[in-house]
Amino acid sequence: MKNQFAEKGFWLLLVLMILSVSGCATSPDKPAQTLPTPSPDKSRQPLPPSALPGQEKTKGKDPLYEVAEQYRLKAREDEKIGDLPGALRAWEIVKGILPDDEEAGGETLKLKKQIPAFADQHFQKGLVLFRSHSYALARKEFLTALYLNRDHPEAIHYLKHKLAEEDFLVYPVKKGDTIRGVAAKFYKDPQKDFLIARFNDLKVDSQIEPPRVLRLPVLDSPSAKRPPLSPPTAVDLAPGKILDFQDDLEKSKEAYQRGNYRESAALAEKIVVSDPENREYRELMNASYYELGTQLGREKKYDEALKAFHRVDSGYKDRDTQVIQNRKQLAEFHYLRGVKFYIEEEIESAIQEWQVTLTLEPAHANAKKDIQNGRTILQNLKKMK
Amino acid sequence: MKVAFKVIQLCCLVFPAFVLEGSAAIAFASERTVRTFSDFLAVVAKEGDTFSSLSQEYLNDPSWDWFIAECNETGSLKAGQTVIIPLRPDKRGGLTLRGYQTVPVLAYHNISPGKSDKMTVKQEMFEQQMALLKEKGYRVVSLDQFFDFLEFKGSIPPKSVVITFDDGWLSAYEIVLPILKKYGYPATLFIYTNIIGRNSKSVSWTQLLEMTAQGIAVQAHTMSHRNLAHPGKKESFKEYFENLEKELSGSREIIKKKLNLEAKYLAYPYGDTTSLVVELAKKLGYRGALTVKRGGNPFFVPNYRVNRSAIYGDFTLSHFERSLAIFQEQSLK
Repeated sequence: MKNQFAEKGFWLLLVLMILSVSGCATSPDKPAQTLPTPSPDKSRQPLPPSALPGQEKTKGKDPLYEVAEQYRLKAREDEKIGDLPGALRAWEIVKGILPDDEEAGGETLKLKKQIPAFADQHFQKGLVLFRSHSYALARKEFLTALYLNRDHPEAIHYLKHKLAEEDFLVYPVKKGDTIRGVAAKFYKDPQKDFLIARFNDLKVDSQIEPPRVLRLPVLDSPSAKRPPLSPPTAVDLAPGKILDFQDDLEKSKEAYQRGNYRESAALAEKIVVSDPENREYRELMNASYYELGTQLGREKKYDEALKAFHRVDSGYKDRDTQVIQNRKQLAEFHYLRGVKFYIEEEIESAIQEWQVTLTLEPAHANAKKDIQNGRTILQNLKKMK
Repeated sequence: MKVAFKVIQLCCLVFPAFVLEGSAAIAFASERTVRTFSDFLAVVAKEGDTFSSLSQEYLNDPSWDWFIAECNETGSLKAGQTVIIPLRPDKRGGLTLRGYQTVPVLAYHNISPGKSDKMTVKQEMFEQQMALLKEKGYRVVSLDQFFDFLEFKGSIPPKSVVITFDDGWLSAYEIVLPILKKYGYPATLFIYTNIIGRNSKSVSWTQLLEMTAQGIAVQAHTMSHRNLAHPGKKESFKEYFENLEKELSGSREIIKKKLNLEAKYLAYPYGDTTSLVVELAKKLGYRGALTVKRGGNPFFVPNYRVNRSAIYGDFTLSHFERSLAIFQEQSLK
């Protein structure tokens, strides 16, 4: 049957036009005719849960039917209150018991895409807050990211380590440094050289050279008097952070010059995390991600482009417009994929794609309408059987 | 055509539960109806089943009972009830939409059958406290389980509590051990090695050996119980640091020699610490260390500054209950 649609581009366009005008279930045109004929008028309204397709036959016979329905209600409730992971778990149970249930299938797919994306949004928000020293707010965002996606190692790292006052400093050795000299510089006491030696598995008279880094325990008052988490006071002395960025900075700039924005962005981000205050590093990171996003957008990799633009500070050049445009493009991409599935009679996959479209662009009128039509067709098909 | 095929698949669901079909397989486990799905089981409970017995049978671990109950949104189990058992339970971090789990670590010192003072809890009160934990559904977990929780490696029940005893009092053997055994609670003893077997009030190495054989963990509390956070008056900085090393590594060596155990955790004497002490504990390979700062522990508490709430002799039961901070509310939306 697929052979009839050799000229897919033409049909795609045609169907698109039809969808936006009349909705596919009532379309008299050829693509719709290739589907078993639905009885459109009866099924315009969404059906109540008890009459969902396929289930009317199982009711009263499969003892798990009731269980599935309980989880369906729970899933809807969880989704309503914003408990997306809870909703996903419940939908997965419904889908397990009723493998052909469209609502469960669609919701599972939608949430599986939505949840990691939302988690990442919260994480990014947390990063911005962290950089502006709003630690309590940043913590909430990291926790939310982790609640949504337990496998988010970066969120764990920020919560466990970055948000806690570190007990050591990391010092990158410079040419000509001695252990005694470093002790004099940071502890104001050259005789504390033994401490540096002990914590770095060296002898006090060991030669030290770049690119070695030294771990320096902080000498402070007892824990009760520890100051609250504060930003690093000097660029070359940051708690628990690697201080020598020169190498990465040079590499990042080089990569940027070569047009390898992915590499320059990754390196720049590393430096920025270590020293969020530095304007030069920030500029480099923003520029790198901005260029990377633009490049990916040109290659029609909207998904990745969107991720790159999310890493750029809001307000940088036309970053915010780029985010909106790429999201629209991505929504349209999924919408068209849905249409393609529709033409190939894979109605369920089509509905799933349109649901993703709606997630990206909730106001997408055609997607909303087409999902309803798709569901109607499926329901009618099953009734006919 | 694919649509039609799916409709046929759907019709398969009409078959009764006992027939092998589609993605669901049927098994009979001692007269219990079980259907296996890729991520979960649907089990029809029979007479005498508990969440704990189901957890043991299907997850090989009775301690996931709370999780099964939570998934099914019910506290009770009746014969004939269908129970969903997720096959890959994961509640790391104890995060919910409404906030996050915190785990109280209780610090006791001495327990006495007669008199109490600040650091000595009366036996009767101690028994009441242990009974309260059971009655109110708290779960006593080991320090290892607790650190798995801190490191986001493992899940523990939402009402988890850790029990610890400091110093090495004889009462740990004579009074505490039988009570803990009665309830099946795990616990940890932080001993300072210089006191062990030294007088009539302290526990002996033989007694400690017996306790470890019965599931009580023994961990480090230094050798002399000196305050690690401050140098002594006559100590130079270098001497102070060398003495810190002795306190932290010496106590571990002695525990290894006497009990053949690797101590992994350190309780700071008086709960006091500094960054230098923390760094040294890390350097020497301790997995974590505990203060006596009151309050429950979220998973993101630093491993070397774990909060512990001391339970004092003048506590009433409601004082005690207030020390059991198991949740921090914070909307995670």
